[in-house]
Amino acid sequence: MMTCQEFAVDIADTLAGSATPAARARAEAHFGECSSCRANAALWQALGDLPADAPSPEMQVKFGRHLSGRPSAPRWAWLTIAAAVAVGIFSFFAGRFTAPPSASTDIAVLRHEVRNLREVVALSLLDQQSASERLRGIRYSSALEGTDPEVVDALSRTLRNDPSVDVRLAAADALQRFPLPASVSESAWQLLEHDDSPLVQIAVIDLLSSRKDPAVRARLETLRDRSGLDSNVRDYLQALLSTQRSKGNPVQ
Amino acid sequence: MAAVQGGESSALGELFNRHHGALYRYFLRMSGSASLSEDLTQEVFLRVLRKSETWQRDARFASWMYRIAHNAFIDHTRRNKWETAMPEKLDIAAPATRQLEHDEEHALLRRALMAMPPDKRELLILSRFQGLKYEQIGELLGVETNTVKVRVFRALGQLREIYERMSGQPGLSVAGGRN
Repeated sequence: MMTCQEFAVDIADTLAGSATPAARARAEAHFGECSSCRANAALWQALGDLPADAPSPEMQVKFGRHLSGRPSAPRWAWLTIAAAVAVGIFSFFAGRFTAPPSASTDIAVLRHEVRNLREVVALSLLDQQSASERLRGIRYSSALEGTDPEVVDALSRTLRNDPSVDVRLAAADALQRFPLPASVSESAWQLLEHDDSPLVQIAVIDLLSSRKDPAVRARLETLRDRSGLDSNVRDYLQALLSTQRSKGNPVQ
Repeated sequence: MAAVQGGESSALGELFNRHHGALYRYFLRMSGSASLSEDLTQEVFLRVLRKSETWQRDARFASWMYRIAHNAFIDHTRRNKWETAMPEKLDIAAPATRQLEHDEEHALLRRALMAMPPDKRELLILSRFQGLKYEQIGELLGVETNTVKVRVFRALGQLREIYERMSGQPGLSVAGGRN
């Protein structure tokens, strides 16, 4: 007696509707004898009945915006920023005129707690699945005071590993305001070898060339001469190195 | 695609309009996450633009696109090992119609699909949902067409085992209980 496995090709073809009449007849005869394969065929049918989910209509708009260049900040974002600034100014003056001197310690504690909360929110957003949430995390991190090593690490990790070019670019920009530990700088150099986005490569070059490190220029020159480097990146590097040379500034 | 390859990046918009729905559903069934699927769908079209010179004019665009999608998903999985291929909760919107029994069966079937190893899940997704012929899947995965058929047959058997284990009963209640 033949085993189910021996009917595998006939069954697969029959399910897909691509079987020859003979193969279909063999498969159907086997279904008549084998409840297991009959159940598999029913499952195939059931899979086809699963409703098809549609992407959100916004997806096309977002992609169109992406194609036509970098997305501009929406108006509401500016309103939010303006509102935050207004609240900040009001709080500053209100605190100045109303808080008794003895409250200054409490305010410092409160500020510290708020800062910690912001760091937690930023780190949590950077771990989200959605790219837009991770971008929010990066914006949060940019608003942080001080240089929390955990935030720098998270941004560095995002720069190295995030699947979205937008997010990697934003992470490179955000890192500009932090002093970079040697390990983070080194991983940024390694990223230049691996990242397949010329935009990200240029952003990383900007990040590294803004550091006061005498070894940067030599490494950038080596990178410029590397075979296989994107021509746009090479041109950018060339221009950067020439500008720095003419200014007598060896890339910091 | 020929226009994109010729440097008309605006033609990518037309390709996106034509294929993004199918590609989104591929990622949704692979990952169970709507937001991730949107991100990866967009990522695929950007890769299409970047890698357009590698497309050969006699190649079927869909096969080439799914190869890029397959690689994008693998890259994502490698980069995010903490995200298992099986999320605890799927963020797929519930259907508006209230066919409770069917909905429960569908939800169970989706969970069973998500519980499969990603390579086997992908075989069923490509062959059953994305409409790819076995020959195209073979090209995409670099295996013989008959190997694909045998693997699909086995994957289906494995899906049924998982489904039955989850539902706690032998046989299928879906599709009117054909067993």
